Amino acid sequence: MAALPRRDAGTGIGTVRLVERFLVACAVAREVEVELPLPVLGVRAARPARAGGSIPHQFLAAVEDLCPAAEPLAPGVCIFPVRLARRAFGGEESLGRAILQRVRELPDLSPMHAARGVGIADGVLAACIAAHLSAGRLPGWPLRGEVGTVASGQTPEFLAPFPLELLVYPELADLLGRVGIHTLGQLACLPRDRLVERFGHLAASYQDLASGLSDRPIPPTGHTRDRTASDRSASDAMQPPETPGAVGIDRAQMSTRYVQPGFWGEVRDGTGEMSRAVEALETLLGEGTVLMAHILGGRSPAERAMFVPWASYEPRGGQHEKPLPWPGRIPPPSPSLVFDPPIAADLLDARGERAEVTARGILRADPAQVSIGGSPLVLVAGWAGPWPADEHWWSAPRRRRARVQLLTAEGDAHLLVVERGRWFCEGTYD
Amino acid sequence: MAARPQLAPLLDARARTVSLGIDRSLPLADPLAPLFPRGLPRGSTVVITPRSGITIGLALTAKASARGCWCAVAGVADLGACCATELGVRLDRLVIVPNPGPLWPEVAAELLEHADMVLVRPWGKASGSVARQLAARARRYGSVLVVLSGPAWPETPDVVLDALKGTWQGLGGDDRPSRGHLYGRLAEVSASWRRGHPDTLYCSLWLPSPDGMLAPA
Repeated sequence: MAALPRRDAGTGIGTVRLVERFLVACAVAREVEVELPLPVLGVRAARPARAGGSIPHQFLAAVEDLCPAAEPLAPGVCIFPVRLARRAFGGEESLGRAILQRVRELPDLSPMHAARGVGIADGVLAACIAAHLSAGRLPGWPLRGEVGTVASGQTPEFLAPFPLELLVYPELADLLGRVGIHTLGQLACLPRDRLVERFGHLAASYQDLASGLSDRPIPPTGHTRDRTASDRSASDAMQPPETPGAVGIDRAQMSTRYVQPGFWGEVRDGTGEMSRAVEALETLLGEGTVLMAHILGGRSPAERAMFVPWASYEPRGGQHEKPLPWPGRIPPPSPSLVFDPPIAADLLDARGERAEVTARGILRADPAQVSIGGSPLVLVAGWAGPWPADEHWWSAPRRRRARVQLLTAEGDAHLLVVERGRWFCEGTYD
Repeated sequence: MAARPQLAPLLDARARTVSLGIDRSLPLADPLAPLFPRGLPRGSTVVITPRSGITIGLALTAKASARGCWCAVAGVADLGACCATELGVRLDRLVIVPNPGPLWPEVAAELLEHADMVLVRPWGKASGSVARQLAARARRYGSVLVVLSGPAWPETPDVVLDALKGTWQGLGGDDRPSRGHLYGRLAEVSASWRRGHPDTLYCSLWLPSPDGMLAPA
């Protein structure tokens, strides 16, 4: 993991962000033409269909054999944080070699997946490019040995000469090209505030990727166009390449999902009037104070709700999420008040000792009294759970939590969560 | 002459559009019908008592948002979006202003002009003049003001909704207190109308029912 100083031209405030080291393994077509942009945008977007023994499936299974944390990025491309497997293989290099050997052993069933490669670098993008180099997929660029490895901290230098098209979708690359920005290095050097002003926050997130400051891109949801462009044809030419929300896997099975944002002037159904109200409210309260909510997948009510500012909100197709199985998910009804961050609480057993959830996910003793946010202790009339949840096991702040539903003697119902022996109230059924 | 028989369905369609246009009530979830015998008229003010909780307020917006009406919630910083969807609220028709602070009257006034239903939790105690102005604004723009009343609302609203503290089902029991999970809440809800209905109306509701929705008990 490399700590990189964050360049911030706007404020001059330097912060440090940690960029995870990733290993990307790919099994891709050996053809000369490369599908652009690289499948970086679809990180954890869609798991490819794991139907009987297709090459992407076998490939993922082979990598998962060596590192269970591997996740598909696109068919034939998968990724995991190096940290999770490095120690078991005695270092990064031998891990890379082991994975490479394994994926090269796979039968050569389909020409779409004949070229195999492994790349290791800080961040998803650099690792992805390194893997493609290792597979011999980017002709004209120097090979970096069998396993494409970019040393820790070298990501910006590594990425600098590559063309923008590797990263950003063609329309934005074209717009940037018109102002003389052709490589990732040039994008990384642009003053941040000017970039945001002109091309929006999506371009800024690409800049973070290009300068090796961020692990993975945010899904493109903001408005992206040259906001100062007087040339209308430039923005007129920017047609959405795919329908929003579509999972686009093309012929070469290399392209990936990206959601093309809407543009200014695109009127949502009946939102024009509401937009004016929101504009007035933001004048009153400040930008980003008017929110819309999305429901995502997740276990707890707090995880499942995402609030986004009105300006960057894009309605989803379906209003109700699909019922995907989430182990450890609390069954409905959900609490009507959700506290984020959660409120400190205390849950005591009959002997007055703090209730504890064992490593196997059961409560040591029945909870008897509860206090939320420093209020006086009240008796517990009923409880359910715990629902254990081992979250974010793939990233640094691994969280082991357990949730308990609680009914007090006064008739109030709460959702409590325990983490490292400390109890919090995450929601109230008001 | 051949065009003549086709005129009738055309006129019919037009007439129906007009009658929708003068429909002066917002749609409400069916289980709430016993409390709102004449629907929820646009321009009215609803006060929800503090002990009732926020679920009943969200339930009011469910049908209206599902029909495409814009709803807004101001002053509820901890709104549970999952609970709202389970109640049937369409989130892409729900604008949330979590922290209007002392500017809540201005925020509510602005929202009442543009949204169809506005849930607001006053920040501190509302003065009589603010309450009167907001009610007047709702009447003028044909929206519905729903006050999630912290301190008592100084004006007499069109209807006061009061959910007597419900009893949660699914947890507890003497033999094994850790059984099951929260299943639903049975609540007795009353509606006291200012005019038209001499008596307070009562109704038992699942608030919410086991699938998170509103249901008659």
